[in-house]
Amino acid sequence: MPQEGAAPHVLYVVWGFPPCRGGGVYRALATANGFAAQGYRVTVLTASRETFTRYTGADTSLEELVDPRIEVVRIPFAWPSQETDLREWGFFRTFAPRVWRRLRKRLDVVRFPEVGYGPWRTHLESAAQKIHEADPVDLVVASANPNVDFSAADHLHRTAGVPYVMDYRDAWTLDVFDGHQVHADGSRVARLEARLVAGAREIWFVNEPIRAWHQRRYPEAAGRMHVVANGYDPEFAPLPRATGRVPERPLRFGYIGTVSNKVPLAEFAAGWKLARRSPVMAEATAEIWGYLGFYSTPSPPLVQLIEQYAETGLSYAGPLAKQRVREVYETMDALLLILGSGLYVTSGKVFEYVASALPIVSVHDPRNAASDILRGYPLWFPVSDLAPETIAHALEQAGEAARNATEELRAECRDFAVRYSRDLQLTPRISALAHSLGFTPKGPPTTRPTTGAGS
Amino acid sequence: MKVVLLSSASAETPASFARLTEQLDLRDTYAARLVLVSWHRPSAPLPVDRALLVGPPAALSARAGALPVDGSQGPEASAPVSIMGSAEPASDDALPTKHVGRLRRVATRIAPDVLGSRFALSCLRKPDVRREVADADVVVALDAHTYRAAWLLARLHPAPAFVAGTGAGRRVIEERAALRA
Repeated sequence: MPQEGAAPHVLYVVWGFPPCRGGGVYRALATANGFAAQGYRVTVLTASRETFTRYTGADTSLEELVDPRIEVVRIPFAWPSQETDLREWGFFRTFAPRVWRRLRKRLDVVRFPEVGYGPWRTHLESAAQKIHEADPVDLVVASANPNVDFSAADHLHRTAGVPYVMDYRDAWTLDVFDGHQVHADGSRVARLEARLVAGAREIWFVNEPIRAWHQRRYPEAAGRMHVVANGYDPEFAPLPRATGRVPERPLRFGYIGTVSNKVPLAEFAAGWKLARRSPVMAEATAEIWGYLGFYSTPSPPLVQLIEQYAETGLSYAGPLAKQRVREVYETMDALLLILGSGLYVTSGKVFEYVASALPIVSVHDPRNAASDILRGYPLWFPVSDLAPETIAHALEQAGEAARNATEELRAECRDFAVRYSRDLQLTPRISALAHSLGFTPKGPPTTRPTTGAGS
Repeated sequence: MKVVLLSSASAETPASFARLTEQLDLRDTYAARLVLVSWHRPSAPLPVDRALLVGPPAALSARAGALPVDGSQGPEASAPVSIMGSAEPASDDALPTKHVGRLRRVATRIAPDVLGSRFALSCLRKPDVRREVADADVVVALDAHTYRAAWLLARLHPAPAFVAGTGAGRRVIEERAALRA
C-alpha cells in the first residue's frame, strides 16, 4: 500500500508493447497510458525493441504515443525458433532440425509451461525484483498473452505481497475459437492458472462470454472478474461519416487488420466475386489493409488468394501504420469485418468499425462474440452463413446503404459507437483499483470520448 | 549491394520470382547485384545477374544450354547460366546392402533432409558458388533445403550476412543499405 496521498507505483508487465505492431499492442498502450493519466507512477516491463523489429514487425510510430511519464524497462527476449540469422544456428539445429525442435519445446517449458515464451520467466522475475527494490511496486498488472507475463506478478506477490491484476486478452485454458478446454484439469497449466486466479486482486477479460466461462470454472473468483472490453481509441478511430457517398463512382470496401489463417478470406472472395454482378457493386473495390499472417513477410497462400481475385477488384494494400488508420477509413464507403469463427472472439477492430458510422458487412459465424457488439448498430449487415450467395447479398445491401444512408441514420450509428470508446471501458477499472489502494485518482472516473465530426 | 539467393524450389517462374524480389524489397537505390543459386532450372529467364544451377543433370531440362537469365537486369545479365553439374551421391554399390540400409536409417533420423545435404555439398564443391558468396553482402536461404548450405558457407565466409527467409533478408538488406548511406 502506498503512503497516504502518494501516487502508487504500478508495474505493467506486457510482452507486446510499442513498437510491437501486434493487435494487442493498442490495449497495452491504452492501459499503460490510462494508469499514467490517472496519476499512477507507471513502469512498463516489456521485451527489447529488437524482438519486434526482428521477428514480429514493428510500428515505430506507436512509440511516440507512450505517455512520457511512463518508464519503460526493456529486457532481452530470446526466440530461438524464430532466429533467422543462420550464423546463430548450431550444428544440431542445422542438421537435425526435427530433433532440435522437439528438444527446444521441452526446454521452453522447464521454467514455465508455455512453448516459445517459458524461458522468459527468469528474466521477468529478475527484472521485476530489481524494479521493486529500486522503487517498491504497489500493484502489478500483467497482460497476457503470452501468459508468462503473469510470472512477474506471481513473483512479487509471493515474495513481497504485491497485489496483481491478470489481464487476459484471450484466454489460457480456453480455445476462444472453438470453445474447448485447451489444458486438461490437473495439468500443469490448469494448476498454475487456478493458483494465479486465486491470488489475483482482479482478473480482466475482453468480453462477457470469456468472463462467463471463467466464472463457471472459478466460481470463488467470479466477483473479482471483470470485462474490460477493448473499445476504440478516440485518437486513432475514424471520424464518423456524416453523409452518404456521391453515387457516381464505384464503391470502396475495406478491411483493416491482421489476416490470420482463421479469417475466412477465401469464402469472402467467392462472395465478393458474386456480389460484383449487382449494379450497385459495379466496379466496386475491396482493399485488404494490414498484415497477411502474423509475421513481417506476407503469407504466400494469402497473397496468392488475393491475386487470384485481382480481376474482381480485390487487392492487398499492405501494412498500415496506426497513425494512418483514420486517413484510410476516410477513403472507404463500407467496411468488411471478416473474422474467424468463435463464440469467444471479439476482434479489436470491431470497435473502430462502429466508430466510423459506415455500413459494416460481417463475414463471420453469426455466433461470434463480435455479433454481440454490433447488434443494434443501424448499418450492420451480418451473414447467416458463409455461403458465397449469402455473403454477396450482405455486400449488396451494404453497397445500397453506402449510397443511400441518411444523415439521421449516420447520426444513430455515431451515437451507438460512443459506448465503445476504450477509455469508457478502461478508466472505471483503473479508478476502482486506485481507490482499493487508498489513492484518489486524477480526473473524473470516466471521460467522454471524442467522436469527431458531428459530435 | 550484392545479394545471393539460395533456392531448391522446383521451376522458379518469373511470377514467383517477382514476388520474391518484392518481398525482399530490392529497390533500385540499393543497386543490387542478384545471383541465384538454384537446384532446379528456372522455367523461364529470370531477372538476375547470374544464375548458378547446382542440381544434378537429371534436375535440368534437355535444353540446359539455354540462358534462363533475363537480359533486362544489367550488362552482366546476358552472362550464360552456369550449370554446375551433379553433386553425385556417394555410390552405394561399394557397401554391403545391410550396411547401406542401416546407414540410411541413421541418416534419416539424424539428418533426414537428403536434398538439403546434397544442395549443401554441391554448393561447397563449386568454386563459382563460393566465389559469388565470398564477396556477397547478404546470402538469403529461401527454403529449408538450403539452410545447410547457407550454414556451411557461413563457416567459410565471414563477411556476408546469412539469413533464412525473405523477411529476414529484407531486414538485413535494409540495414546494410542504411549503413552504406
